[in-house]
Amino acid sequence: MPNKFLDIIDKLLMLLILLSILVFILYPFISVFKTALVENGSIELSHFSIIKQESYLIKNSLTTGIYTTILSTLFSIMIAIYYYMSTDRVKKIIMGILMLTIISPPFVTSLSYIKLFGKRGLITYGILGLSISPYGQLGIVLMQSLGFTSMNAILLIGYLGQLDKTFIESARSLGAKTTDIIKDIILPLMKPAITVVMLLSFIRSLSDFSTPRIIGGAFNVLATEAYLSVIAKGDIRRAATISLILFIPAMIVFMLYIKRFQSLSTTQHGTSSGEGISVKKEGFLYNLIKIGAIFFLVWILIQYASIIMSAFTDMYQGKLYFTLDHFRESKLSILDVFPRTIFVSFISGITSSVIGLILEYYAFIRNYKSAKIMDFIATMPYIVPGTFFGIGYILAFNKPPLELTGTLLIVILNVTFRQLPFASKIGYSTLSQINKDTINSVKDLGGHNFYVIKDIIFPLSKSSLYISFVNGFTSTMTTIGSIIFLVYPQQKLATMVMFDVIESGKYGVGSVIAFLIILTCLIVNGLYYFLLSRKGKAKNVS
Amino acid sequence: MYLKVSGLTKMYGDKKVVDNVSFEAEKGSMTCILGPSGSGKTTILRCLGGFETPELGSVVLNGIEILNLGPEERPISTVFQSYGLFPHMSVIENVIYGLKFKNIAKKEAFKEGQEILDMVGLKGYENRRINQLSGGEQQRVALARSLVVKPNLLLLDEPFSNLDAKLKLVMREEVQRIQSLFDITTIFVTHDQEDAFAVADQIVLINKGKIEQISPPMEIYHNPKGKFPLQFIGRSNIKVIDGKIKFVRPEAIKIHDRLKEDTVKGIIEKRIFKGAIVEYHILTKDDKLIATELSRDNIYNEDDIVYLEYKYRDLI
Repeated sequence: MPNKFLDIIDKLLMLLILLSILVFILYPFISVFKTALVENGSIELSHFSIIKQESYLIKNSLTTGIYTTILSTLFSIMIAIYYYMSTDRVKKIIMGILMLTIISPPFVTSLSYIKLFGKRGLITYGILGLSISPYGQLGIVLMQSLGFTSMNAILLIGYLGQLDKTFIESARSLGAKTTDIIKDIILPLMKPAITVVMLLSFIRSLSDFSTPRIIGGAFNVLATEAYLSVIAKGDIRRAATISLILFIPAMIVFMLYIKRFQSLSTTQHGTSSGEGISVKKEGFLYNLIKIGAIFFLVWILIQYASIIMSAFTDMYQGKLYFTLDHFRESKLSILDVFPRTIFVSFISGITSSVIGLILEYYAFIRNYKSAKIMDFIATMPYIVPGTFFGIGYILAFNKPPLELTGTLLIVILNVTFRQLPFASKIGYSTLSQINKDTINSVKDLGGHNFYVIKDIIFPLSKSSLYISFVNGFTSTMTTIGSIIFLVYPQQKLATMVMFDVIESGKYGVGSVIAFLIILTCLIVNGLYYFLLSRKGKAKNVS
Repeated sequence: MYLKVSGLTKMYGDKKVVDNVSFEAEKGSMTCILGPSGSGKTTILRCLGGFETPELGSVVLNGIEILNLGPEERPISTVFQSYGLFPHMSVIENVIYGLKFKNIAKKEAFKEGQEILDMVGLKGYENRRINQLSGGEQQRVALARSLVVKPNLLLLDEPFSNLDAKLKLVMREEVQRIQSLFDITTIFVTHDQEDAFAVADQIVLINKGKIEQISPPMEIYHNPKGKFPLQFIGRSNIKVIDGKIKFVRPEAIKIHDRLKEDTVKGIIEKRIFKGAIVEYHILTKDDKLIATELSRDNIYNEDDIVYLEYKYRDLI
């Protein structure tokens, strides 16, 4: 092909990527700001009076955030250290349990919490004979902690895996026992990662509306209030204002820790086991950590077992019996929902991975300043509450020239660009591993930039594109926050149907949907690891 | 003997990476474990330090069998190849870390730490961060940190591999100075024979997990025992005569510009100038030899005719 033609393709491709980020990330952001801050062409802050009028919301959000942060950070530290010091077999089991929560919708544990610890809960009522209301702040904090701890632990595990093992061996060589090693070496070295984990938990707790909605009862937080403003009151301006209030702390945290976020987020799947560390499994601190970690892991398992159980069973006169009734009952609500959900997840997984990689190519291989700015903008969806991003889309795309509300396209666009931060981070870490000389060789041999993408970047990024796809697929399968306002009743996605049925108390049907979502994600993730291990084996043979 | 290693064997799967290794070391001596990469030398060191558990063997240090002790219980300290300095602690905190487990009061520990920093040439570095130190300084801190606990045996894993050529020479002397200053029994691992020759009292030459030769440096160079030591240590012209291996070192070949008694005529095929020495590839009637000479003002040119005075020695 003539180089001139290729030049045009190259330029067009970059323009397309940059434009799409401006339109589908920056523009929705600006729309929220505009709606919250501007009225009739001038700045109007009267809506922020809810800070004063309903200060209890802020207090509720903050206290919930703090409790959740403390609890989930503590547990994740214990799990990470326990994992770090375990044998490879135990490591696999721990990672498997943690992955369970990653591949399920955020509020799924709340469902089983009600089933286990609710007024008619299997444990509280069935075994202990108590009738306690599960609803309220305690329930929210417990369920958020349960959900966030897994992700936190995986981050910390990735971080610990990168530590030079000679730190620990040196300490042992100098006479340090297990307790000393944990206290003097491992914990202090984990500090930067712990800080990030704490901040992430806090922001995520603030922005989570689904858990408080299901298990909060009368206990409201800012995030649920934003949700209700749209759903119940139709007051989108109020919702935008609350979203903005939630956005401010997230942005501050993000700006402070942008570098650490970058280095950490890429290690999410970096669970390389490598050589284990050799530390005697003894001492007070180790045992404390072990008990805490095992307690948490067992707790997760019980919660998930109860979901599967309640999908297949029902109560009759106080007795549990096996039934497929819930599946029959849910047939109506899920028959067309699942194919659609899988379709949307599939498209968003692929699109976000490809856009992420190409964006990083223009930003860091070609060194375009404009692409670097876009890269920064592309990280923003990572930290904002899902509802913020959803409200942004309603506000941005409800009128010409881009009137998209009500279409499936807006949903796909929303989830795609919401996954972009992760996709671009993976893209960045892959590109940074490609030798610059390899790229220069293509040009040296007379190849156009276009061939650099086609012959070098894409082939060498295959495995990370898979990772990014699996992650994008899973996140979309389990997301709810950003799309709950965008989806019209006739084109619901699985998580929303599940959210609805749980809200209306149909826990059995909810369990069935939860079960199916987890199963779908499990299959896709499993397929990925299967392909990966087969590829690895093929390599070993040759 | 102060240290007695006998029959040490370590398996990875069904592969013997350390195969029946035995050697001894006197108190205050410096032993070098020398071998090509992948020969199992670092694994031996890790067995001594307690970071690998050998399948067979015994290690007696100062009359005590130590193999059943954990690394933290052994009176042994290791300086790792990457030093393993704690990045979240200052220099002095690193140095006195081991004293914590000897129940020494903080104040006393600081005093000891300062003394030792002084001895390794790092006076005034107490409050520096680890990432502010150069490679040589980091190595001094790692040495100080190991020495402060007064171990019976000091292990150094590839101590000079992270240093550039100039610094390597400085640190080689430093390690030697510090070792004799503390009179501490030391074992170090290297793949670089020059390091071994420069510092060691005895060299344990290892190949494929097995000991090939244990000798002082001069002995191992002049009297290699067996094929591997001959090929690995230094360079030689090797020839098989009547089924017997014979050799002559390149510097043992004398080059004359005119005919003399007991010389062999040759032609210089190739000359390689190496700074301090010059290497000649010389073709004679029945040999192709490598010979080296110190650089002088006028060195031979390619195609020059020379007369060589040399004698093949038998390999023991």
